[in-house]
Amino acid sequence: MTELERALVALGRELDIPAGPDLRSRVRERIERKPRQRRALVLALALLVAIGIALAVPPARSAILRFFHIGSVTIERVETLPAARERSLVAGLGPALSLREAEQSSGVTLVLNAPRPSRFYAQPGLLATILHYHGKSVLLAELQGDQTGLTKKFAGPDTRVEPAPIGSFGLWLEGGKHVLTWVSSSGETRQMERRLAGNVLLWTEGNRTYRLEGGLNRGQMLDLGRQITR
Amino acid sequence: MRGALLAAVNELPEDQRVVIALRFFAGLSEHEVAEALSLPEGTVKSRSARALDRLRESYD
Repeated sequence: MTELERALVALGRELDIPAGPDLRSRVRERIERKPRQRRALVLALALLVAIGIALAVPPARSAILRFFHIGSVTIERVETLPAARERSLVAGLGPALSLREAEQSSGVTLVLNAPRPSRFYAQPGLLATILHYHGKSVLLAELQGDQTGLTKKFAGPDTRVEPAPIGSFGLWLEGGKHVLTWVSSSGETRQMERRLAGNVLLWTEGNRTYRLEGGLNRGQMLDLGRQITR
Repeated sequence: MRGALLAAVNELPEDQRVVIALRFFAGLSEHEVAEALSLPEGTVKSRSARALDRLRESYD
């Protein structure tokens, strides 16, 4: 092993990777499972590592832009937030549609094991709707595939980002201000809708990314998320 | 030095970063990384070598 490789091993020990020392045994255990499950495993591992790296850099020392991907969502931590304002949860998502219209327009088939609302929103590869839970409005967005760039989030230094126990891999974002950017047209970098976002739960399951946003706390959001995909 | 190495890892292309992370942070062998990523072992070796070359520039 070279000096550089030893330095990498030492660095790995210092990183706050959520899976901790059990990561290797978890990998070996899951390698024995079906090939189809490996993709989710790989994504989860990549994310665990990315988060470990991201969380290991104290904000005050970070001149580096830190980012990681979870399914179709890119989270980028920056020191100064771009200009944004409070807007509706569905700002930038287009007109309200029926479920059938939204599924056709987005190319995404809804997964929702709960009473279905009547209004849906669609962007290529993205299907969204508003749910009501514990008296709060919550935006559910489902993104198909693992392409990045459909959605970006910029978390300011006060936003907490932590792993969440849901799906193949989950993340909980809370506190501070963060900016959500919806790309208005797929495949092109065009005018984007920027708005300040609330608490967010992100998770992947299969080839899909789920995103819940609203005024719920972490436990409530996890309960709702698990109901959606149970 | 740790910060510079961490930054260099973070700036690697994703396919190389994952291989480095699984090999050196998670402690997997090249064979295990290949199995986990469903890649030929040769691909893992070449990605690892390219990544280490890039990291060496920051480390040296």
